[in-house]
Amino acid sequence: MKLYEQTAVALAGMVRAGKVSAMEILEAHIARIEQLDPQLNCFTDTTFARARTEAAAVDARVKAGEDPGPLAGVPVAVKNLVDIAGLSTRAGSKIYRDAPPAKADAPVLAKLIQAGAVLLGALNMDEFAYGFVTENIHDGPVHNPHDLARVAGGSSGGSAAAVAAGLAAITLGSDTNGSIRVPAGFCGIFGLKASYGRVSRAGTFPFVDSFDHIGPFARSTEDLAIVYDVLQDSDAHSARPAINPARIGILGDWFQEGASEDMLDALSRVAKGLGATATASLPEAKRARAAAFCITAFEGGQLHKQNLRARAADFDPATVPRLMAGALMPGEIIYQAQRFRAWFQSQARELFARYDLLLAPSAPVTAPLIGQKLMNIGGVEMPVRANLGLYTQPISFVGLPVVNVPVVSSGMPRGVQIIAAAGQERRALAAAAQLEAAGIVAAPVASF
Amino acid sequence: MNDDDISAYVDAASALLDLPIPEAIRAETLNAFKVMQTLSMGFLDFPLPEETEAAPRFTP
Repeated sequence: MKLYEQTAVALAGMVRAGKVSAMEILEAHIARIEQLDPQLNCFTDTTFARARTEAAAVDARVKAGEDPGPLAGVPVAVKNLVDIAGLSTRAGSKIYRDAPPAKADAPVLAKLIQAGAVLLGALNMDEFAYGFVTENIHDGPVHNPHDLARVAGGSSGGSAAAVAAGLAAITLGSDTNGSIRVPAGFCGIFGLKASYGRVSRAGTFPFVDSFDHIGPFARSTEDLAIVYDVLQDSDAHSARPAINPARIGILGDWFQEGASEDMLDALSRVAKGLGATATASLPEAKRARAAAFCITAFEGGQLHKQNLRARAADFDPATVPRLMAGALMPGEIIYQAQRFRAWFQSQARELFARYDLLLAPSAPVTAPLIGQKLMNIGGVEMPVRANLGLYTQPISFVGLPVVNVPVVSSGMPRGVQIIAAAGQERRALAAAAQLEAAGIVAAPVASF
Repeated sequence: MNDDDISAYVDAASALLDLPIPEAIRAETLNAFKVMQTLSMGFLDFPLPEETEAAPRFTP
C-alpha cells in the first residue's frame, strides 16, 4: 500500500515506530498534490515550506526518543475559513482575499499540529460556506475524485475531495447545514459533525452562529475518533459503547421522501448492517428545514451587511441574493424560527428516549454534475444548490452529532448519516466502526 | 403575499436599512426573498406552546 493510501493512524504508527519518516510521508503527499490537484482543484493555498519544517521537527522528536504525538507525521489540510498563521483567511471570497494575514493558527489547527500533524495548505469551499456544491466563482469548482465531471459537494468540497483522492489523510471543514455530511457522502469518505458547541470555532470565519460546527474528514472511523479526541483534548477514543439494534431508528417521512433508489438502498444496507428494523419519526422536519433555511440567510446577511452595502458586486453571484434577502428579513420570521427550533429540539429529545441512534441518507441523490442547475427530487424539479441539504438541515438545526458513513458502492459514493443524541458522538462512531469492520462502509482512495 | 407585495416590502426594507440592491441582482434577490417568505409560512402558522422560548439564550 502506498503512503498516500494509508490512514492517519497507520501513518502515525509507522512514524512513531521509526519505520518511515514524516518527511517521506510529506513528500509522497506533495507529489500526489502536484500530480492531481490541477485536475481536482482542492487547494487554494499550499504551505509546503512550513510542512517541511513541521515534518523535520517530528522526525527530530522521534530520533530523540520523545513522543511525537498521536498524529505524528500525518499530512492535514484545512478549509480556507480556518486561520493559518501568515495567510489571509478568505472563506472562499474575493472580498477577504487581501485581508491581513492571520496572526496565529486557529486552536483546532494548533491542536492538530501539536499532536504531530503536518499542514499541507488551505482548501477550496463555497463562498462564505453558503452552498452544497463548491462551485466557487473566484477559485473554480472542486471536481469529485470519483468522477471529475461531478461536484464534490459543499461547502467543504475541497476538504472532502482532498481526503478522497489521497492528497491528505485528514482535513478539517465546517458544517452549518450539512457542509461536512453532504461532501463526505458525495466523495465516499467519513465525516464527523460533532454536537453543537463541542469543537472550538475560535479562529474560524463564521457563517451562522446558531448552527456553525467545525469537524474532520477521514478515510477510517479510527482516524475520525482520534482527531475528534485531539480537537477536544480527550484521549477517550478507545471507548466504544455497545450498539443495541433495537434502539436504532430508521428515519422515515421527510428523510426518505424524494430520495433516489440508490440512496434508499444505501440506507437499507446500513440499517441491515446494524440490525435496525424500526422506523422512527422526527415530526415536522420539513418545517425545521424551512426554519434553518431562514435563520441561515438572516444571520449570514447580518454578518455580511457592511460588505453587501459597499461591495455587493464582489460576492459570488450564487451567494449574494440569499444573503441580501436574508439581511432584509423581518424579525418575526427569525424570532418564530428560533422558537420553533426550541420546540423541535424537544421532539428530538423525546425520540432519543426511545432510540440511541437514528439513520438517514446524507443527501437525496448522488453527486450532481458540475454546472447542473436542477435535479429531480420525488418527481419535482428543484434547484441543486439550495436543496442538497434537505436531510442534513433539520439535524444541524438542533446540533446533533452525526457521522457520515460511505456505503460500499460500485457507482458514485453514497453517504448515510448516523445520528446520535447530543454529546453521544461515541455511539455514532461505534456504529460506524461496526459497519466498517463488516465491510459495509469503507473509504479507499479514489482512483481516476 | 404576492410578487408586488414582496417587491414593495423589499424596497421599503432596503431603504430603511440603507442596504441598496444593485439592479444586477435585484431579480434574484426578490426570488430568494420569496422562497424564504414561502418557507416561513411553514413554521409561522405552526401552533407553539406559549412558554416556548426562542432557542438562543443568554447564559450569564
